[in-house]
Amino acid sequence: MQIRELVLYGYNGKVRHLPFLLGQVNIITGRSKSGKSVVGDIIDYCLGGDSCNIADGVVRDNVSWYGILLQFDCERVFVARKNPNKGQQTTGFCYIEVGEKIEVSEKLDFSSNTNVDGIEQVLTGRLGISENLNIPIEGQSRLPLAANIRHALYYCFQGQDEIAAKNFLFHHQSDDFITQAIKDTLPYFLGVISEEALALENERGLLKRKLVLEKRKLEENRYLMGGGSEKAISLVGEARQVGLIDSLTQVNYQDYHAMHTILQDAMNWTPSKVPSNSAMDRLTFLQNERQQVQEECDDIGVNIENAKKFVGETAGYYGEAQHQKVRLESIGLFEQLDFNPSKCPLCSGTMEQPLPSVEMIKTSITNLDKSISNVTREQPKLRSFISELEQEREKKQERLRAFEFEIDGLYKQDNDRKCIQDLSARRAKVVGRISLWVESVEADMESGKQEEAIKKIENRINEIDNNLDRESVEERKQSALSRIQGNMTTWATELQLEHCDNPYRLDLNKVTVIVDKPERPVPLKQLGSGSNWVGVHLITYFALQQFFINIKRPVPRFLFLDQPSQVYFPSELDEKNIDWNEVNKMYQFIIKRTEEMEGQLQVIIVDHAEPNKDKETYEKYICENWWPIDKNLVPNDWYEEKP
Amino acid sequence: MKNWNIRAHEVAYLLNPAFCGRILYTTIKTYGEKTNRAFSFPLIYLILPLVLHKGTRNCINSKTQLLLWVQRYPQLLIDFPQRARELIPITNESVEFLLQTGKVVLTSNGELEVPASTRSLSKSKFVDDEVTECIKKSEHIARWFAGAGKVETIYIELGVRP
Repeated sequence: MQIRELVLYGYNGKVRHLPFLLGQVNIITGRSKSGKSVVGDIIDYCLGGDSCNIADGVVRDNVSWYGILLQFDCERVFVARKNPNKGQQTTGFCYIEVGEKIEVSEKLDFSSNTNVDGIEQVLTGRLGISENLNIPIEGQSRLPLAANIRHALYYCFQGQDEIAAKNFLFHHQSDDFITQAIKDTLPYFLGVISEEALALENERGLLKRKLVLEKRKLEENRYLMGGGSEKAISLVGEARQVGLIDSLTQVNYQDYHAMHTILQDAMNWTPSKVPSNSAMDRLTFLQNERQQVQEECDDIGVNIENAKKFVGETAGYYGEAQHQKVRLESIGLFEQLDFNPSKCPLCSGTMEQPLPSVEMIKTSITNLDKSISNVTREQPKLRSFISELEQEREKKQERLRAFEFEIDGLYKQDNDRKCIQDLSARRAKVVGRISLWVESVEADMESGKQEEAIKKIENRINEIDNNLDRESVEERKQSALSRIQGNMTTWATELQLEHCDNPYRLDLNKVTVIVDKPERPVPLKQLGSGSNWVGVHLITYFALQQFFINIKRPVPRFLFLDQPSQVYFPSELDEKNIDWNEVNKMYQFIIKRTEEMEGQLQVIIVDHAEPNKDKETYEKYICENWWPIDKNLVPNDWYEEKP
Repeated sequence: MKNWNIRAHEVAYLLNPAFCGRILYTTIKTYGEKTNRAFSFPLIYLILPLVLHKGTRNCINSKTQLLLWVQRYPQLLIDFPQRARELIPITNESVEFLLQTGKVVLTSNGELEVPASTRSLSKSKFVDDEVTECIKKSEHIARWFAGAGKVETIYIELGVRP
């Protein structure tokens, strides 16, 4: 995402355009009070956020709407936000428009069609930030935090008071709680958290529940399985007593299998018939219920598939390098309407005289298609909807199993009831005990399978744990930071920063830059001299942006730097003390880094430095020159009295 | 669109041109009252798939702007493109019916509007609860489209193109 243009709509109906070039350095140079820093605040305001940090003054007094035109891979987005009224701190009136080749509106002919949350969601989605959540470790009191575009913007701005600060490194870091928010969200932007993390968390939750249920079933089975031979012997005794086994039959009490066979034969005894009972009604009811739940289960399965397809999850493209861009789906107007010149589009009848109004119908549809056919759709947030459906399906499948158990039980009970007579009752009781024992012995085969199933579930849970494991995330984070460190150290040497023969690295625990000298590590705030601080800020930001660009992370591809040369201007009017060599070196560094990125990084600098020296080198980068007294951000004729 | 005598009963009775036309008429009329502009033709194909689907219809509320409503209920749009495609012949027939009876006219720009001179259709005759609800929701949809910006924005937010 880069910035094509900033636009201001005045209360007086006039419009001020401020275009930028993509993929290269843009410099706005000007005297003080010409509105340079406000440009950064306006960009920040248009990209969401609750408060308006645009300073009081000419801009706030004369502008009614601010607009920004953003360029994404396949489309452009125009976002506009209303200037807060006098006395108000902020406003939520916003307007958004999307299209392949749109330009900013020439006049204020739109009105609010969304609010700040809506803008943040659209930009977060189009930037490619997938659904993510950082869940703090147990014992910490803060809530889980999902990274959105506001967090991505920390790595794109350096305000006037931030770029030369020694106590804080990142944009807004001096505000409360931002340091913690950076620690929570930077791992996502560095790409050390798997894109599938949220889906895997949900799977793990489901599997853990299933594991508990399966383990419980296994326990029950094992409990029912009572002993082997001892039980068989006692059952043979009982069977003999009630006459199920002929008293003359020889039984070898040492042979487990022989006893097993004899007992199984004993189970075949059937008593005289007894009328059946009403258990059958319950059976029919249960079977109907089961059928219904089965159908509901199948329906939910279909819904889950459709939802996953809609989100694009079924393609399996979650790799770091590729964010699946989903296209708009055609509703088939060109197939179902007749676009031939002499036919009516609605009924396909031939018209002798084509009417202009009818031709306009076809034209308006064709024009609409041209301007949006290549635009992409944001990936909708369906994770919680899908996981709700999956949980519901699990519950229904449990109910199905319960039904099946009950139905089986009823069949058995029904069989058993038929055997009630006196001896039959006793015999039946023994048969019952025998059959229970035989089943539990047979169910021993079952428990083998169950153990396997449990093992599979445990393995999968371990796999997921490894993927989401905090330690391996830590390792990946350190690996990413050490790659960034290489660039930072090289560039520190290029800029001749203090102690540059030692490694410079970004430390995420203290959220600052540390130089690893042999004696001890030196953090940013213990380095001296303003020029070092600015240098450190620059190498950090460029190293991070290069890292994000190389592995295609969803961070906006622009940098806004406010007055990087301020440390070389002891006072505005003191021309003789300005160290132009140093200023040049810094600018050459910025230009070189931007060119290395081959158009993927856009840098916007507002600065005080007047480009009298080396005019030719910098001329092609300067997009606005506000040194002449009549040139400002807000044109003079907007607020000056006419003579 | 099949001939009347071989059409399925459900399609003929429940999706007849008079009922669907009544819905479209309400939307076009309310849109015109809110914006004093005629109704852009491509938007006509988006109304029936929203109103006739019961699940979506229950959630429609123009108090929330369209773009925010779409972000709040992403699951309702899962099969929206298929529904829109299948309702195109019905929409065409209903538009023809409205034009034939003169309740809606085609402007020289190819847009639709309700001429001021005609008598407006009653909201309470020949209706039951469900029909009344459909008519009310089509007014909500008109207010949505009126405040949502360009035709392109509406199509993109609903995830479809012609």
